[in-house]
Amino acid sequence: MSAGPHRLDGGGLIDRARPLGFTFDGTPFTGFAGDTLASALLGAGVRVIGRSFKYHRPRGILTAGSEEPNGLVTLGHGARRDPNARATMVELTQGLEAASQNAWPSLGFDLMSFVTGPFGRFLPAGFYYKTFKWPASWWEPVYERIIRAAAGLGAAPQGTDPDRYERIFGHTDVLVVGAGAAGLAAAQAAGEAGLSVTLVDEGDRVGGAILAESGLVDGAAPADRVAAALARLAGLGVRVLTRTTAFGLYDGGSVGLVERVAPGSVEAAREILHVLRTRAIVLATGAIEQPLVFADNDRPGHFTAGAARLYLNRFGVAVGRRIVVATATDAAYATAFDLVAVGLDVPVIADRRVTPPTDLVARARDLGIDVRPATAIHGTRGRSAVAGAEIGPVFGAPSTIECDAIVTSGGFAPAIHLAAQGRERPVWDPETASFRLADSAGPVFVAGAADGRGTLAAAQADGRAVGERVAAVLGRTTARAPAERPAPIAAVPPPAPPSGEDHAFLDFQNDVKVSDVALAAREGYVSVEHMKRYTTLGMAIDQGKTGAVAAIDRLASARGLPIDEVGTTLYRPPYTPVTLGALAGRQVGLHLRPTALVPLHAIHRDRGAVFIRTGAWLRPHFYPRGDEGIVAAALREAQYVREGVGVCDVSTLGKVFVEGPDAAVFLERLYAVRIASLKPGRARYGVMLRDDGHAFDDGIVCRIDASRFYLTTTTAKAGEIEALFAKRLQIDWPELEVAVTWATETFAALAVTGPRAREVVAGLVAEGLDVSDAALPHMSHRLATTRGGIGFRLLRVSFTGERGYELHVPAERATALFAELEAAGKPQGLELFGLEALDVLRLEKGYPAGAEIDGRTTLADLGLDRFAKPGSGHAGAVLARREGLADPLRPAMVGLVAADPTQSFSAGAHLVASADARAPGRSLGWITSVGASPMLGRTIGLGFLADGRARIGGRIFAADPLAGRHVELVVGAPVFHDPEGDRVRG
Amino acid sequence: MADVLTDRHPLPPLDGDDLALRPWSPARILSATAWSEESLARLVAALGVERPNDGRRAQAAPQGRVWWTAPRRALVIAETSDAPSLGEGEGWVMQAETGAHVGFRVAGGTARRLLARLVPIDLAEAVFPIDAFATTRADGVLVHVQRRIAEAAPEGDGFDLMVARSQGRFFAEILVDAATAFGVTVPDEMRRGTAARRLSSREVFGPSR
Repeated sequence: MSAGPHRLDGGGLIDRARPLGFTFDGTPFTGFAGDTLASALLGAGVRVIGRSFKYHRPRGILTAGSEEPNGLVTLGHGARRDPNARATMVELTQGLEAASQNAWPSLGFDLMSFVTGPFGRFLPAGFYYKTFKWPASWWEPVYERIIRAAAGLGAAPQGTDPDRYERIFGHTDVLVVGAGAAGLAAAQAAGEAGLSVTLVDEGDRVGGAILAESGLVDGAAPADRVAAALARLAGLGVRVLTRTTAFGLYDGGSVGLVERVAPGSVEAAREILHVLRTRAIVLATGAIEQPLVFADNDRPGHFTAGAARLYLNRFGVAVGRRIVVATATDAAYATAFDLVAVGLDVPVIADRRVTPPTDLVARARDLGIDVRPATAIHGTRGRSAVAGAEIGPVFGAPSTIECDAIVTSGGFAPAIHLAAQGRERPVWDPETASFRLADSAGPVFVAGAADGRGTLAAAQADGRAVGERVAAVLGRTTARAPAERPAPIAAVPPPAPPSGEDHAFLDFQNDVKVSDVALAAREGYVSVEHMKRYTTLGMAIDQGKTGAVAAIDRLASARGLPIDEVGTTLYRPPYTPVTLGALAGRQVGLHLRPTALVPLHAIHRDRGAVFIRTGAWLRPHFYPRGDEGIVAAALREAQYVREGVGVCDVSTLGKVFVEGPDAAVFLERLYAVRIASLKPGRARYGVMLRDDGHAFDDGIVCRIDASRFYLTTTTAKAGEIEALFAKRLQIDWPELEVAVTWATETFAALAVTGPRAREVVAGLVAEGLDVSDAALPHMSHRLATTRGGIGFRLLRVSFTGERGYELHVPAERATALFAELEAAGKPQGLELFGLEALDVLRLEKGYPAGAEIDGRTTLADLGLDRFAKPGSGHAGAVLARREGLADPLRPAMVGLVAADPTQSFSAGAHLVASADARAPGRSLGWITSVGASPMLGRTIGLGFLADGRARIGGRIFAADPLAGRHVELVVGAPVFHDPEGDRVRG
Repeated sequence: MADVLTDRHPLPPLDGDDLALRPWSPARILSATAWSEESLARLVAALGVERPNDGRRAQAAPQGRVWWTAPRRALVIAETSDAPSLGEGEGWVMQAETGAHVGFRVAGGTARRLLARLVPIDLAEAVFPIDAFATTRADGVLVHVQRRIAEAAPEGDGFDLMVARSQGRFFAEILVDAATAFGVTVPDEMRRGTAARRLSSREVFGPSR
């Protein structure tokens, strides 16, 4: 069965018994199982696939692999729409929907092409740096919108991705990337040495260039040759992954790979991210054929020679009926011979070389092909597709040869991107006329065409030799020494791109021409990295794989330098685009990041709590009644605590036991406050400094006995402090005999606070347990039991400024204790309150929290220097005294209220002296925390103000241009309620 | 071990294709931390085990299995409450942590393939034999993993995992989610997830401008 004017009646590795229907731009077509979308479209005679990025020129398929720059299509629709898919890599399936991109209203009639066509000369590389400057007010609403609408590739889907993505971790001894002749041989050699081997290939079947052969390979048909190789690998336990692209090489031998799950697979995921740890990597990724560069080389109908041969022999598709071949390599001759063998017309081979190999020339002429040495292709004729080639002497006038396809070969660029990512850059090898990596002793090895061994025989032998070498490096001895690698195959340098030609494209995908590279050089962007960014060459999703070498050569020519002195840009992952879905895997939605729940989470949820995420924790934020918003709820809850009693879940606080003969010494070195003088049964507010002298974290230090302490830290810093303690004991002070046991998960913690808190606690604890102020004064602690027999640690501490207690109970008893607490608290009207109310309460008292202890402030800034002990025996003490941190004019913490009590202001606003919102002047500080005060009935805030203490009583302005506010504030002391602190002591 | 959303373990028993997921609730978990090399030697002697080398193997002690989670810190896990207790000694401190952890058992022929979707460590037979122990992260959750003594487990060879109590529910969800690739069905009681009523920043604080 034939499916299209360019589909041959026989041949290829497709299954003609399984036709597949698909659509392109709504038009139905037929292909076959084993086709790619590109081969099916070409077989159906479709030449124009899309419109180019900037100039909206018609574009067609150029290659047959992942380096394809033109054949970008959008697959599917709705939430599953997949833009910028390379048609050469899309496996044809029944019902496939494909659409062209960047054309409106249609591919054949694109309105923008009528603009960019005649005016294209005004749109060279970097034109946007020189135009659209006036008026400035038009830039965002007019110019940017027009440019964005005019240029682009596919449109991203807007809906939630309904598909599933997986991530699988793997480990292997040897990863072989590329399953062509070299890769198959390397995998076999490594497997025979007893190593665990993983072989991956980005295609849907292994074989690489073997599948492009028309004759026998090692005495077998290409498909049979590959099947035999796979059978041998299976017997060696080699794992083979197809449809899998190795996109990045990372530290520690980690490789990122993305597998496109095969249609009909039992795997439910659409894509799988494999994170593979390997001891050695063999890159058998081949070499990317470079097309010749000439005027109008982007006209649909121009193919690389290898692609044309692959389409013919693997897919049974003729790229044309009368095909002109232009080349600077031997490879195109094989393509020409195969085209003629199936009855296609090849009128001429234009060979840039003065003396091409005589055997190839003779064979071509025997087949009736006119071989013209020292002859170049100068341009193309036609409208939306090739209708003729302009052929002539390299420096002479061309003549037009009618044709419907052009096949070119300008050389081969080794695909060594993976090995070069972020590491060494390849260097120019004049022998192979390519950029190659230096010979490696591991762990990354390069084999086959990727290292200059470009024939099938050489690639296979080289793969074998490299595989054996890898085995030796990994300590697997064999009966004989690793085979010698065949020599790299010499090649002539690629022809220099023409100068002075318009529409001679180097980067098809970003519409970068030869003239753009010359322009970049003229304007001073002489570094290859600058040229790249100025012209955007190599910055599209194909990374300029089919034009980079020619571009470097053009830049070298413009600078009068040899190509090796210009060099390549730095390679970076990914090798080909990776979807965000693959990177996210199953970590989406509720599983985006870990969620930590407090022991009483169910109770809070059932009581209607609105939660807030703080790090991994979900904490009750407020408990709304009716349609209360956060402000009303927090005001109500805070008011209640000031007047009655409330309970707040503070289980997320870091909790830790520090024990041992040197426990006190350890803590004395860590804290900026005195620890050694703390008596058993007493607690102290503790502040730690960073080594650089800034405040780090605060908490409570409880002394249990001479050698045992129980500490709390803030929720946010608990993890950092755990790491800090470990570092101190293992590295800095290993001589100290201290045992640290973290108990954050072990205990739940509830803060009971308010004027009636003591009555609640008294009703909770066992009969006879004295919780009077005399027995349990502020900043003390003891072990206690409830009337139901639940043991817990009772702390008399407060973060609200009211009488307060914290109950630290084993997590598995938290629910039971809470039930007893509620019962004991009912007569006193005990109510739950959340984090927002807690923040308001501590704000009224001026207690610093994370917004104030943010790593930029010192004890003096915070007004906590009264707690600091003298001397230099604790962390951060020395650097805390350096001039910059000891400056009395540093921003100091102050209290802030609006001069007009009806006005509010926001945290993050800057403090300025100027009343003029349009000219606020220099920032004198910033606002850290703001809340609605139940006691003052207005908005209050804390902030840091230069020379703040001297400005108390004065006025300042809160500049918040993002919110459009400029509010006059009154500066006061950083405490708004009960400045003497009497209420906390009862 | 009570779940934070229900009174039960966050993972109900689930079966898939040659895969068994089971809750694991040891009767007692203690942490023992020595404060010097000398006291570590005494702790090791009290446990009756060998001195830990790199902590990569679980050890069997009369008081339960021993996981070395830090150079001088061990978790002592007793399956039953009648296991002898490790008393406090000179130079080490103990903390009861039964409620601080949540355990899971993953067993069956596909257990290793399931865990390969969660943890980055090499669980191959030769690399992670019986009693091998490691601490790693699964989707950000710190998890202890031990290859379990096969004859002690009715479900067959497999792995014991343990995470912090607060993330037990989350870990159960990601474990079951990954296990759907092996024929496990997510039970209805787990579908709600760790969702809790939350407001966006815009809802809480209003539009930014």
